[in-house]
Amino acid sequence: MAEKVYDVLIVGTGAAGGVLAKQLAEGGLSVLILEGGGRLDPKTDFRNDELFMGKLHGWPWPIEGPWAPITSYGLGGSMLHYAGWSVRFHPSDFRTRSRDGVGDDWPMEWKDLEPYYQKVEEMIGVAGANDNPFEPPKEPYPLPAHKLNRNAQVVRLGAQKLGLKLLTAPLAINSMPYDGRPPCSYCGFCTNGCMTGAKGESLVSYIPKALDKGAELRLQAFVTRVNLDNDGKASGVSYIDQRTGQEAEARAKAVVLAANGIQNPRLLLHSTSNRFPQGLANSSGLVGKYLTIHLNPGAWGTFERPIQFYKGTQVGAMIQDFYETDPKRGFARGYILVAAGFGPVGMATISGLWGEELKGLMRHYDHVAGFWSMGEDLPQEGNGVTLDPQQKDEFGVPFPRITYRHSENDLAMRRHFHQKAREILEAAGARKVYVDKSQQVAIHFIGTTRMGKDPKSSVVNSFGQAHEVKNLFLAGSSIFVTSAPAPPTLTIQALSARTADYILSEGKKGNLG
Amino acid sequence: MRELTKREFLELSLKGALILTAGGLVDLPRPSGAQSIPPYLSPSERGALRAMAARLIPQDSDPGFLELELGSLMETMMRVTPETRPLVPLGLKGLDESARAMFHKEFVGLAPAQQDEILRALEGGTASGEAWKALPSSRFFRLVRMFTVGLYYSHSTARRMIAYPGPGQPHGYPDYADLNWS
Repeated sequence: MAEKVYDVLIVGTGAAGGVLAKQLAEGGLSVLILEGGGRLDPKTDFRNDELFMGKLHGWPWPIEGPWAPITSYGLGGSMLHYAGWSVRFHPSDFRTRSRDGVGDDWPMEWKDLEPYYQKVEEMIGVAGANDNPFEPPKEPYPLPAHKLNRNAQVVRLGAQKLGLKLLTAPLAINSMPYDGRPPCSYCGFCTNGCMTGAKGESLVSYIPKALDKGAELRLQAFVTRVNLDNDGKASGVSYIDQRTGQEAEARAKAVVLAANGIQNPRLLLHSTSNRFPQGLANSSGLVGKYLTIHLNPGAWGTFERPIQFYKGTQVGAMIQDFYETDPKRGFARGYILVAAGFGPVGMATISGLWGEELKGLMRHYDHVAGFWSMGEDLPQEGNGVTLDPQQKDEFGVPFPRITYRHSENDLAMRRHFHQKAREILEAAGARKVYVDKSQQVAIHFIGTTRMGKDPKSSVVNSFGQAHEVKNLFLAGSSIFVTSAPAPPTLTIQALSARTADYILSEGKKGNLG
Repeated sequence: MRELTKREFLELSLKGALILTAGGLVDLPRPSGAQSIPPYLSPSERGALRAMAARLIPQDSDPGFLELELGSLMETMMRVTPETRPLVPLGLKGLDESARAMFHKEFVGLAPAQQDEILRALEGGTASGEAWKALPSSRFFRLVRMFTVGLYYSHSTARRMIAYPGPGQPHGYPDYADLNWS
């Protein structure tokens, strides 16, 4: 029996794959979804236990170098461990080369993405306050904002004294029932598996809707290569069915890789052929290059009175006063300070501290308030993902090798964050301030199949369509051009919704396959 | 209907081992077979690992990592985590290589201040040793640190020390915004 040829085949089920599966299935296409991991059931597989939930913060494949990537492997992808923080990029983020002389411009304008931001905020259910003067005005958020958590209330005292604006962080977490999901119970475990379904994420917001519309899902299907037909178009993928260990093939008229910023380039680099000896869609040589991972320094103050910042949504509020470039600061681009609470293991881990200093901070754990951050690291050609020349995984795919070094600009930004966070915490009344030690933990993987207008200097166009293979699409943060000083999740979803519209319209015109 | 991958099965074994040794950190059924996992470090490797953990979370007015008797549990967790398992013996080899390069002695025999100096070199990636060519010292340092703080701050004694009441579910924390500061 001939294998069914689907309209679209999607590899990965996180923020990108989830949106695409839902939108394309609802658009009437036949969709096959391949997920390398299994399915976790929040009711039985999630617990309010950080150690137990460590499974959402790992990297299931060996990796070279000092950098420890973090991903969630399984249905729903890394949205299983995102905090729900759903902030839009600014118009300036799409023009860093023109405006600030660093990075590169995106092949699109903020305005191209605006309607898709709006759309995914409604799909995922974002609660917000429309109190951000640093971004263009927008429609009211679909859900009212949550009350500020304890951490945010404390740092607000300091921000106000220094004339900084403490903004409500938009969160894809229900402040009231929405989309058949309950309101948040404020248990403080957003990044360790939401047990109630209050957090909007692919697992509860996208995948079920895609399946309702007839999309087919194969779990534990680890994709090893993209296959081509004689005309150089993608014909489907090969994968290992991990339940049997057998190799299988799936075929489709269009293929979407939404497997994250390390797996996407790894798959392309591994999918070599006579036509593409350097890896699929890689004549530019840029697949795997320009990896950015964000800067995430932290700072915490101990206060006289109890705070208990483990209660509530983990992310509460943010400060965007240092988001844009200010030449007086001595570095380009900027960062967001975010008032975020952590469980004790999370706090101890991300602080990077050890010995007496760690115990000193943790002794005051319930009296701690502080900041974590999202800073824009600059794209550099030498940072990236390559294939290990020797070692292969159990499926015969070479290990990914990550090479990454922060630039001087990144390090100057980090120092600036530590100084500003300290000033704010001290102004709020902190008795002692602790700053993190470098963690070398990569939480985001950005830019490794970057988009652009020129096929010589980019891998895909602004719709994620490979310049060299018209029915192959890349989705997720791997197509970002720069990391922007903000979490990528909402922008991944907006770009993916835009890609879905493009696939639907090109498909109707018969341009895909 | 849910089927376990090999990886997930190992994860579950890991959690099972955890309960087995710590006696109730997490309220989960004990999987069969977890009891038969043998130790995988040599006595000298074990000594070096525990000496390192003792510096990462030392005893002061409160118990440290070793005082909570978490050493064998950490070793079991490292043993059953496939991604970690081969790295630990290699890293411990590097630890002693660095110790000999800096102080002409093995790590366990050094004074706490000297051990801290070595750990800082590991952390900063400046430590010398053959092993670090295959495994960056900062990555090994971070790995051991992750296991150490994860186990320590999950322990009921440590939680009491820091006034953390434990899981909020199933009720959550409806008082999450009631700080009552002014």
